[in-house]
Amino acid sequence: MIKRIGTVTTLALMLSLAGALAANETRVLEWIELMPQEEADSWLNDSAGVDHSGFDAPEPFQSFSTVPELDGETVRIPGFVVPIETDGEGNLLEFFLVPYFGACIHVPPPPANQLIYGRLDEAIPMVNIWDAFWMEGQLNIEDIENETAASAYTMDVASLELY
Amino acid sequence: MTLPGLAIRSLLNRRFAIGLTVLTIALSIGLLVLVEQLRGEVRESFYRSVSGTDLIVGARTSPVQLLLYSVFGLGEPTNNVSWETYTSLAGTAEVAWAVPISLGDAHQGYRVVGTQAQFFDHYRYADRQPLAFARGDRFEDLFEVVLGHQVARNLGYVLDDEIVLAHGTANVSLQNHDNLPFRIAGILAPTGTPIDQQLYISLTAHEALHLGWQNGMPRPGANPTDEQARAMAERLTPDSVTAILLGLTTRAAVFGLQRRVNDYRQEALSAVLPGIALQQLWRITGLAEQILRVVAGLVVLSGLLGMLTVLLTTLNERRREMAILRANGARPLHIAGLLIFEAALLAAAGIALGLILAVVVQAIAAPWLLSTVGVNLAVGWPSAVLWKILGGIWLAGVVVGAVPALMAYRRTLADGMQVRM
Repeated sequence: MIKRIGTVTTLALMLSLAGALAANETRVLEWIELMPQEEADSWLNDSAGVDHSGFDAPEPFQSFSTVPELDGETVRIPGFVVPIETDGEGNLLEFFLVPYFGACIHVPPPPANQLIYGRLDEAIPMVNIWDAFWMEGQLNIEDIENETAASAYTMDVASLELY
Repeated sequence: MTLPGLAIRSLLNRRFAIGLTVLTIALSIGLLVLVEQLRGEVRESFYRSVSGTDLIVGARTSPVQLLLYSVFGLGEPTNNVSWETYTSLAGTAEVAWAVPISLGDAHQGYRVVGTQAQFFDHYRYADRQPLAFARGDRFEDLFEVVLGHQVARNLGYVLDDEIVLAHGTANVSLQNHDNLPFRIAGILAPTGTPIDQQLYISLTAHEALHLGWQNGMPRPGANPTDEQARAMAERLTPDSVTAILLGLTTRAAVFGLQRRVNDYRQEALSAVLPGIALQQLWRITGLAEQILRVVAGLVVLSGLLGMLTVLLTTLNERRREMAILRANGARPLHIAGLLIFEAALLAAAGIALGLILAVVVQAIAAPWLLSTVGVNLAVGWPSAVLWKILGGIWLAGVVVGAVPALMAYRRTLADGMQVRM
């Protein structure tokens, strides 16, 4: 009898633990977390005083370094959609999720490690690029074999919903 | 006799007015279905026009303008891009392939695009589909041309025909490059995109066409013959191209490269992401689509109101009919049901007839639409969404029928039994 109660409590405990885990499973990611720490620090210092006047455009900051710990994590992140591929019937299939919509041309675009290339299993109706979206899914790091880039983030997108 | 049987006989008795009502609804439904189908097709052919191209580079202009002239063959390019810029861009580390295109000439209103043979390797449309040849192959010789499917179809050209290309992009041309005929080397398979409406020649041929035109008009007596042009073509490198299609080795580099192209010191350039420019363009053209939808919706509404009018006016004439039914033991609820059943039947008949009408019009108009505006309207049944809309309209028809039904329900007893003539 005592043994049985013990089993039940263990079971209940496991169940509640599982529930808690499930609730915490999708971690809300900040864009800056996609950047390796030391790079983020120097980047923040650099871009503090962007000069909006004058003709000399700053050389765009580019970075293809990623944070290895994020590989395979299921995350949720807000951003804007830049459509790249459609299914041939005008439905969205592949896109970039970017931290901001390119309104300010005074500053360089986000570096490559501030972009996530999202792939949808099934095409969804074309979204509005002026709207923000929550993207959720498994983040992956893809190694790239060429001289310009090392790695980049991709995501198997589970859901894309209005922010 | 059952209620439906009675309703049908009653309708048949008033066949003229009822027939017109059904026709009104059918016309409005037909219009709605056509607008919806056309809207879907236009949208689809719009988004399938370009795929697999990461950046389009042209002289500095608005993204929509650049997209229009480089992909859709609409509007005029503002300026060209120098050949040096093209070669340096093609040599950039992030660039996997760079296809130049030169515009400015036409053949019977269809645009002539000067490009390289690698265009046929790299250009993608719809779901990253490559271009396929229906007949023949890409251009190899200097004076060979590849035709888009519609061009060949509408002008009745077959392989190996010789054609003359004209200067300028007007529909009628006064000045033909008729000293230099082109042989048709290939005809592309249909794509349902602007590709179908264009002709493709090599960049060198595009330059050769303009030998002797350097002053803006043909120098008299300077029209080179075929052999002369060939001899010169060995030395011909284009000074400039109109736009450059880029594919990248790493897609994630696209924003950085776009920025660098836009900031290029030597020349004022614009680089656009096709996906964004398409959305910006759709934001403008999509408005027309919305207006069409609203108009179609209003027409359906007026169709239903027409039905309501007919039902209400006939209700007055049918006092006797109702009274007889009541006298024979029909309850007020039966009368109301009869009227609602009638309305449902009318709406259903109107929708069915409207669908048939739409399909017939589509079948008749499809070839014309394809050849004039290049929209490939597939004759087919409505999509799931449209079925839902039609279902909603039918329900609205039933609701409309409830109005006379309610009136009849309330007054059949008092009304009609008393003689008030």
